[in-house]
Amino acid sequence: MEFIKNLGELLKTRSDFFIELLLQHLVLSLIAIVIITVVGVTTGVLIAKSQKAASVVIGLTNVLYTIPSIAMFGFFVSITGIGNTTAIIALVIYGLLPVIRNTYVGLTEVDDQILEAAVGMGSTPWQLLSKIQFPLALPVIIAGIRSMVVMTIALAGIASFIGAGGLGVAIWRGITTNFDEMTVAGSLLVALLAFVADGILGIIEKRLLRRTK
Amino acid sequence: MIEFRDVSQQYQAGKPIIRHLSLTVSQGEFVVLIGPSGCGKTTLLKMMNGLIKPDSGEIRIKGKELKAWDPITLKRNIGYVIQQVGLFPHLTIEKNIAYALDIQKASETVKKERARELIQLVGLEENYLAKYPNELSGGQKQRVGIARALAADPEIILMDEPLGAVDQINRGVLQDEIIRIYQTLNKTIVFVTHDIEEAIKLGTKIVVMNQGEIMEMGSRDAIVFHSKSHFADDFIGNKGFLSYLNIVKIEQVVCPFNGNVSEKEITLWVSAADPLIVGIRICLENGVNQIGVRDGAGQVVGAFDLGCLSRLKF
Repeated sequence: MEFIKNLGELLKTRSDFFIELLLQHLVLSLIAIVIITVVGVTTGVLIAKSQKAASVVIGLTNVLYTIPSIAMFGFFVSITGIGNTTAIIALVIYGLLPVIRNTYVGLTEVDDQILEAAVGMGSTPWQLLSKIQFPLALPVIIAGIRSMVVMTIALAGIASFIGAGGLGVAIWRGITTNFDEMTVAGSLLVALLAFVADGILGIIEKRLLRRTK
Repeated sequence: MIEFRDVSQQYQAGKPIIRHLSLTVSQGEFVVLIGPSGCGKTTLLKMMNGLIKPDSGEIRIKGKELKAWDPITLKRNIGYVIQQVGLFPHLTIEKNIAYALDIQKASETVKKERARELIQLVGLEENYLAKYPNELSGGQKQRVGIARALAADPEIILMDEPLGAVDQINRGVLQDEIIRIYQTLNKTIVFVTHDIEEAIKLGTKIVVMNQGEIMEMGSRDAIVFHSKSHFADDFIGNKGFLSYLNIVKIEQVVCPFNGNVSEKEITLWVSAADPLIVGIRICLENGVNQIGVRDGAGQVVGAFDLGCLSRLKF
């Protein structure tokens, strides 16, 4: 009880500090999320045309995905130094897998009959993609983006270990100064952020699913 | 309209799907391609809109060589209906029907107008336009599939077993609809099926295929009665004959009453629009040689007896 009281007290007295970290965290994640979405979806679309390219690219992102995050951050520090840039690069590499994979799966699992009808009616490759394949794959793509967003927000908490801003700063400071309330406050806010983002995307996903079933 | 000259095609070397095939489809014909599975009928159909390219031979569509056509333009000039319908599940029925116009960048008003026109043509209510494909039954979906193929007003329509997945009752109704649309719009139709009854009913020209070759080709009468190939004879056989009796109308064989029987003595009647099989059945059922025939308005038009059948002219 004492702990929870202290936690509340801390969040209240240091609200400016936490709001600033929350905003930093949000900006850091958002930049990574935008880059991942653009790069991931584009890559997914491109590899959907060739099965060989797909297995290579998905295999590669799978391997990258298995590298422990601390090791990944550490590795990039030696190349791009400490700070936000390095954090974003690492976040992007992690987040690509679910987006590329889901885009690829979504596009390639569109019913052959539907594709044949669209091609047979004289769709250009671009029309086939933009009017048929992509809209039909959208629910699967959104599902991939959703898990990527939650993961990126969570992972951005580790970014402060390499000097980036965000709520990881509070967690890191709590751990190093043996200040448990600080660690927990930072962690809770990360979780809250991920939870809200997931909820918003969930609503969007549901809306899309209703239309395309 | 469509001309194949010595066309061959194989997916794998040594396994030909189409062998040295020649075929001409003229303007306004309703050509049915029929044969056992794997005979190459669907491949032949898909060559007509360039979905499959031949290995050798010449194909001309509307007088122009296939290679000279831009593949996209060619497909836009030909309507295409497939078995599983392939409606776009994320689009409303209206957008589905207007898709061919949409990809050719027609205006919204034109698309809306055309969708409304076509939904009526295929016998569905206008309120279906706002629905999604998953709200429709199999038969309704296929009606939409046909409407969609007609959207850009193509002269040629290809149908690949369009009624294969439709139940027996709806199939008959849809066959009648297809005949009606064919007769009203005066299109050239190429239709693939493995159902003999369907082929006899729909085709003005029936092409029997086996192992990538045309075994027999001709009108309904020629295919049922004067088949020259052994294969076509076996394949069409009595099933084809039965379908024939089911389709040809009594009005084609009406004859005068036999001299000593007067109209008043006749108690059994059929309608001139009934198929032959109805008349034959009534005769057999009642053990009579002759029954009367009336037209739609109830006027007596003559008699039907088994001897009349010889009046069929091939």
